[in-house]
Amino acid sequence: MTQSTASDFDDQETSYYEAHRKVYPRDINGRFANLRKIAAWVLLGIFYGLPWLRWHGRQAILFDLPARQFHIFSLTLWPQDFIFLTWLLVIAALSLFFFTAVAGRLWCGYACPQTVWTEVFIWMERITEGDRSRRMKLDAAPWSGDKLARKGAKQFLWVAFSLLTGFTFVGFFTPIEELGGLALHAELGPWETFWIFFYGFATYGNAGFLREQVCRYMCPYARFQSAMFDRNTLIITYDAERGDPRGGRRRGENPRDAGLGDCTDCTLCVQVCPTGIDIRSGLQSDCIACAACIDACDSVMDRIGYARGLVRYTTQNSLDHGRSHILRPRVIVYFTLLASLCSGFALALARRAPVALDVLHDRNSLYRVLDSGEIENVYLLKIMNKDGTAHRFQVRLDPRHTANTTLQLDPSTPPFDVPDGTVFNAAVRVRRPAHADDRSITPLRFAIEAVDAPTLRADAEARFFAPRE
Amino acid sequence: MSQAVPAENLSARGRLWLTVTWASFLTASLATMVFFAFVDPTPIVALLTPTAAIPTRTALYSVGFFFFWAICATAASLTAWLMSAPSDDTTIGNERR
Ligand code: SF4
Ligand code: SF4
Repeated sequence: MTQSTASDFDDQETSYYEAHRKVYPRDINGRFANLRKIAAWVLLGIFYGLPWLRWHGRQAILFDLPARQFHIFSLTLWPQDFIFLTWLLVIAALSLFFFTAVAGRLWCGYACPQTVWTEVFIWMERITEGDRSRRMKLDAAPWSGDKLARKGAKQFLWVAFSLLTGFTFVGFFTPIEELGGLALHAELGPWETFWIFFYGFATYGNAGFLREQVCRYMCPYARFQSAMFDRNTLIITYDAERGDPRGGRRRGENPRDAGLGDCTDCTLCVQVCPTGIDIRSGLQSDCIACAACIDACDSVMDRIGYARGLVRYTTQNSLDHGRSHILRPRVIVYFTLLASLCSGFALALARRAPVALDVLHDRNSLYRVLDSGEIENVYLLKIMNKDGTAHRFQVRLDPRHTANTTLQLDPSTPPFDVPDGTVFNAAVRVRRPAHADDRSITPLRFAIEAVDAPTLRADAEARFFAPRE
Repeated sequence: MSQAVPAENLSARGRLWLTVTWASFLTASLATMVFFAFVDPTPIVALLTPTAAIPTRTALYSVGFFFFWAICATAASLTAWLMSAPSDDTTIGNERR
């Protein structure tokens, strides 16, 4: 296999993208379809509704990139809190591992945006072009006024919905009410416009056009999810032992007499599959575990009076007449990791310093000699208040650092009112009497303390410059 | 020239370039997030071009993203290109198909 790569690539994967066979999933009702619909409604509701939610006078969830602050209800994250975001991402990834090990591709079937948006797009296709067979006929038919009208209506719905999606997406990153106002007056900035169209285009392409090909060729999760699988993972399978040999039968006939299994070979499970596979050929990497085939098969079994579950959620172990174990080393390890990461996260978040202080020395001049002979340095204090409410901060020089110096804070320095979730820039002056000291550089430390809550404090180091004497 | 390339090769190649674009999009998004979490671009731009008006952060982030995308796409294309066996296009005695 040394000479493989490109030529293998060319040989095996010939028909992808260009010659791919269009899948026309058939609509199906049933237990899992309902579950999927509920999940889709909830997730879409969260996505489209969340940016409009207000919290204490501002957008509740706002990843305010222009202001370099993330607002999540009362929590404000600053660039310094980047670790928390990373941490969250690790937790999300590990939860995905955990759920995959226990319940297979639950994520794919019910929660992945790719699945959810594709379902919406297929629904729009259905209300404009009709059900599966009518869609197939329409695609095969020559262009006509009716075809044009139906296809046009579908495209209109798709494009409008994609743009709404792009707009909402951008609304998570710039205040959405402002964005909406600008959009209504066609005054959006060039980059906001660009990203709305970019994300809208991505939605249109992924959910309207690429669909199952995203899962097949683009999704990293689809590639590595099988690594989390074992014989106790929940999978969707066709019970070949019970179903085979397949074949049509007359009503009321005992299939065993005819040498048949329970599968009537109606291919309904194939027709409903959004990825266009046949579940009866065994577990396949293309299966996103949407359970549409379970609903389809159950409906057939109900109609002909057989027990449900010819296609069902099960595990490899119970399929082989063994016992399934939910608690197994892999699951326990994932769970322990997950639990410790989550509690660590909560702890760190709770102990996160609610105020922070940064000090910048004035860039324009190191020092100034006043008429009185005093030497003055100017500093820019950046007071960050992430406590959730406004506070008034008193600035001091930390006596432990300045006790043996003659440095003094300008006595006219007022206390500073810092609203919640903001960085307050305050210019303060520090002076040294004339001829009091001959050091050219003196370290010092600023301390801030909330007047109303003395436990809220922060400090930061700086240096005082003076001319050599 | 293009007639000499069978249709299926074209689509495999097309798929390769789409994969390059997509993979570099993912990595560029990651790079953009990490980079701009630590670096605020406005003071840097203000230093570099003290006289010009400073673009909005949104603009700077966006340009940064495309910059990363270009870099990542270059790396991915190089990988893809070097991964394809040299004999694909040129073999001794059969230089160009
Ligand atoms: S395979 Fe990937 S894109 Fe497809 S549903 Fe699963 S997670 Fe989503
Ligand atoms: S085989 Fe069944 S569960 Fe898998 S994707 Fe197709 S319909 Fe969904």
